[in-house]
Amino acid sequence: MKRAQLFSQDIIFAILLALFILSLWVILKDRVLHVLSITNDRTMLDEAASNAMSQLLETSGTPANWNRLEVINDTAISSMGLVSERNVLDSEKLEKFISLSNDNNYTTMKKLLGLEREGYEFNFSVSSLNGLLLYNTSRSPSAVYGNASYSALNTTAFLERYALLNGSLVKVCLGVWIE
Amino acid sequence: MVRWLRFVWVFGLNKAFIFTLDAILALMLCSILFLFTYSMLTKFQYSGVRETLLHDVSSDLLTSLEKNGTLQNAVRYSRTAEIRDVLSNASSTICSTITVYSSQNTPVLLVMRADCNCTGSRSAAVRSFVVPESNGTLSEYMAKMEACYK
Repeated sequence: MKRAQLFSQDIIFAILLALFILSLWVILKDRVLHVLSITNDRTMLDEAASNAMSQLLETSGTPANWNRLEVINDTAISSMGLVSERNVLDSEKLEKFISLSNDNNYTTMKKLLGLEREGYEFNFSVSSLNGLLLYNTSRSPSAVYGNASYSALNTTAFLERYALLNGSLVKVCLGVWIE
Repeated sequence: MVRWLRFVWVFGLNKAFIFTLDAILALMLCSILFLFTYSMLTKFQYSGVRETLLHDVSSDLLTSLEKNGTLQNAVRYSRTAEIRDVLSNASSTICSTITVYSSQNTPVLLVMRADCNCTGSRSAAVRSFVVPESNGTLSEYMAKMEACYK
C-alpha cells in the first residue's frame, strides 16, 4: 500500500500566503480604524467650531441682553451671541465676552458655545483687516504645539470670518483645539 | 492563450508545485486593494465644514459691505477701490470676485482679487440691496460674490 503525502510544500506555501494576507489585514485594520477615529474626531471638532462661530456672529444670544445680566451661568443664559444684527458686532457684548472668557467663567463660556466636550479649548480674537489685534482671549494652545501655526494642525479647527465693528470691517477668528 | 503558469519552487530535491496565474493575480489584487484602501483613508479629509465656511465668508463679506454702505457707494460713484481693498486683505487662502448686477440683470461692477488662482472648491453667495437715486427713487441691485480656495 502506497503512502500519501498529507502535508506537502503546496500546503505550506498556501498557509504562508494565507498568513501574509491575514497579517496584512490585521495591521491595516488597526491603522484604518485609527484613521477613521481621527477623521471622526476632526469632523466633530470642525462642526463644533463652525456652530460656535455661527452662533456668535449670527445671533444676539438668548436672552438678547445677556451681557447686562448680573449672574452669568448656563441657567440664566441659554446661548451666547455677539451681534446686534447679523454681522454687526455689539462692542459691549464683545467686551463682556472677552472678559468672561479670560476669567473663571471660561468653562461656562465653553458650555454656552457648545464646546463642552472634554479637552476642548478655544481662543477668540478680533482684528482689523490690516492685522491689528483689537480683542483677544488669553488662551492659546499649550506647548505641545510649540510655535507652529496651530491652524495647520489636525487637532485644531481655526475659523476666520468677517463682521462689522463700529462701521469697520473686522476679521473674527475662532480657534478650537483638543488638549 | 496561456491559462496556467507553472512556477517551480525548489526546496532541495526535485520537488516542485504548481501555482496558477489566477491565484497570483488574486493575491496581487488583494494586496493592492488593501494598500489602496489604506492610502485613500489616510488622505481623506472631511471637507463639508470647509465648503460651508467658504459660503459663510462670502455671505459675511457681502452683508458687511452692504451694511456699511460700501456696495452702495461703489455703485453710486463707480468706485471699486474699497471693495478691492477688502478682497485683497481678506483671508489669504481665498480668491474672490464680486459682481454687482442691476435689476435688469446687467453687470454694472466687477471687482476681483488680483493674482489669485482657484484650485479648491468654489462657492457663491448673493445679496440684494437698494441705492437711493438723485430723484428720490430707489434702484435695486444684486451683489454676487464667488469665492474659492487657492
